[in-house]
Amino acid sequence: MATERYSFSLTTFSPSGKLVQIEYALAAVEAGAPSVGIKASNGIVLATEKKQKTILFEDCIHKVEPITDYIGMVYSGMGPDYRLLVKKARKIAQQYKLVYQENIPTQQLVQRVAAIMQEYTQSGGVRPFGVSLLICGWDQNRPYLYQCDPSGAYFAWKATAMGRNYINGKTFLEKRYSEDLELDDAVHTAILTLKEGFEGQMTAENIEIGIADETGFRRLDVATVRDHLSNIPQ
Amino acid sequence: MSIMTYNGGSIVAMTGKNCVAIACDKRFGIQGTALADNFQRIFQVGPHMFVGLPGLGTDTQTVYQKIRFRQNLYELKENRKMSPKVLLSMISNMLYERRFGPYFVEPMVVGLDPETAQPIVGNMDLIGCVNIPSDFVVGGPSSDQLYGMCETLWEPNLEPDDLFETIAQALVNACERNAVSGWGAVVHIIEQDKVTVRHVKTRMD
Amino acid sequence: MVPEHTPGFSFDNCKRNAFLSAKGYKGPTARKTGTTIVGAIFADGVVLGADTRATDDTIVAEKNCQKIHYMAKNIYCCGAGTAADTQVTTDLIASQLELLKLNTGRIPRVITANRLLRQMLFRYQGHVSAALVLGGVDETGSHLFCIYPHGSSDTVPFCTMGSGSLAAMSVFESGWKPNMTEEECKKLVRDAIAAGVFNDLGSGSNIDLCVIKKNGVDYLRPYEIANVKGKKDGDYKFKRGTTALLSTLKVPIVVESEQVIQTGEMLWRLTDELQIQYVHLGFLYYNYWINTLWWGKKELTFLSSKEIMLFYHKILIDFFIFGLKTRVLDSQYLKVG
Repeated sequence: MATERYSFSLTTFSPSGKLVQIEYALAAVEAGAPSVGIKASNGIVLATEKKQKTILFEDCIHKVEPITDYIGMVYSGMGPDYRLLVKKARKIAQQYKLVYQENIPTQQLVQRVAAIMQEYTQSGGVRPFGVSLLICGWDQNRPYLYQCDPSGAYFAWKATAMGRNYINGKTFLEKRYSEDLELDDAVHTAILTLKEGFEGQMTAENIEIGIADETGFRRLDVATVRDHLSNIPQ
Repeated sequence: MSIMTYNGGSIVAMTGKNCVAIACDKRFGIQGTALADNFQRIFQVGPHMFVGLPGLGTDTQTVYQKIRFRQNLYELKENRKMSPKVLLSMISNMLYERRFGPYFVEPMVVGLDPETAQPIVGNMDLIGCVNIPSDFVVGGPSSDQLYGMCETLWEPNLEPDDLFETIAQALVNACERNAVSGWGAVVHIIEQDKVTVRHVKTRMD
Repeated sequence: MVPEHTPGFSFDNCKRNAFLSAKGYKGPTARKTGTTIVGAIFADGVVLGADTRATDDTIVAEKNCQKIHYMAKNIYCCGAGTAADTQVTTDLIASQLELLKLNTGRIPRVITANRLLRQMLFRYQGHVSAALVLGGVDETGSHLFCIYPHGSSDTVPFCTMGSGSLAAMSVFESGWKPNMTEEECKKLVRDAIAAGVFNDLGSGSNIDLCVIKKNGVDYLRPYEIANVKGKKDGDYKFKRGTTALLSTLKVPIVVESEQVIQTGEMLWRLTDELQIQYVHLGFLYYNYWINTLWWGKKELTFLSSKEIMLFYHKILIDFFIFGLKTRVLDSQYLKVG
């Protein structure tokens, strides 16, 4: 990489002081499938839409991924970019553990992943990542939920939505969110948020849900998602 | 003569009831020639945490600076105090990086856990093999003597005042039979509400 | 940013250390595990066993060290040789197995662990001196390997490693049979380790076992305390006040104020107490120097009470000035420590 003609950074300032490459990256995120994260009193839920264009797709690629036993991640935007970041995040977590013999705090992981995303806005020969991440974790006996943007900015949320239609999603969450939400209610709310602007029939196959609580992070299997869906009036 | 006896200086650390102690002698010499009686080998690295660095004098100081550098970075990055166990792992990691060209120190860490206030003593060899026993750790040229003293004198649940007598007597008497240790000693007793530093009389030859 | 983890070894000190050893100053030796470690396969799984002694030449450096290392939920590994090497090697491969598990979504196999360990050890041509007994259960069944420091390995139904391996092997050779029950196998492994503990001086203290089966792991530490330290009949405690003192300094850790500010997600705790501790700490070191200067000038005798008063007056005044200085140089607090 970074040799000869394209060894300069592609993310350069426009005369008005904007980094348009980052704005384009955010546009890629906004065009991506929606995802939602909600913090409950006893855990966190991540949910995302996973619609396949044809029935011919085999359903074995996941969008919600575990990073450690207690941290999970989901994205809106470009899948390939996401998978690279998942791999890097896992490596960061393992490296931290090798040095300190202690699990990485969620906030530290977010900070380091965000640092990588920032690096890609300033290095030669590379483009910014076309994804926004939602990272959730349960450590020190409390839930954490963060969002990481292509610019390297990160935010802590009680609840948020990203991707297509995210403004409606956020408005919906603002109405529905309360501090003392239980995890099951949070899953419920997350599904309802995804339903805002969901085209077609929502099934257990075309959404994905992950939850983190004191027992750790796990992706819900299709049967469990179906149970949750059946509790929701159509 | 081995490098560990080149500058002298022995350290011992013990657990007590809700307290820990670390003590070392103050001699600094070059082989048989004594040069100073105020050499520092025990460093405070937190409100309730100390590291002791027995070994070659120059490495004691270099490693201490490296420890502070990495500890400060950790504490700034994570906005929290480092616990003794994490400090041990961090130093171990640092030393193992030099597995094939080590620093000649055998660091030890004592402290009270910032969250549980549990007393912790731990040490490692020069390439970072961590050992966290429930009783005591020793290091430096008179470690053989210290092992004997501590095995005899240490008992569980010593009150701070008794812990002081135990550790001080262990060190003072170990120094009696080690030519390169002595010239005064300092004992730190770490409790939750205070740290007591006592300078102890030893032989001066 | 300064990386926490710089990959690879550093050889900065090698030249200096070689120079010192050429001059005849021997470096200290690294801690060895001495060790008896064993493993045996039984009908439903694997039993690993180890003693708990670490030695530094002839000194017992650790009485209860952990030699059965975690590799993955279904794989454990006993280590003999240089203690730091066995610890780091197993940690490193455990970390790689965890990554593999996350990236593939499968439970790692024992042969994978074996291969990774061998590749690592072979790369260092025996300089990383770890002799390992690797055991585990995966979807293909129970597996046991013994891995040598240079990177070769054996696939065996039972094996022993370390300085007590001969003693332990004699027990296995006479007692091992295929398809033992769990209890039979545990007993045999215990006997093998005990043979090492009592006949090999590099091995000692307790007996640890780790039973790995398809449905879970039993980590028994200690399985048996083979050597109990004798009880002291007498009391060797010194009377308080026995030790002759030159000076005492009490540094109280006082919380003068505490403030908790909630900022969004994180609870930032403004530890005023911390800064105050650093002032005290500065005082401590400052006092330490004054003390030694004071004693440097004088003969080693005890101070009269008048002298002590004078001494402390001087220190109090100095401390006052010092405190003022540190308060002014607000940013200096952390440096003082």
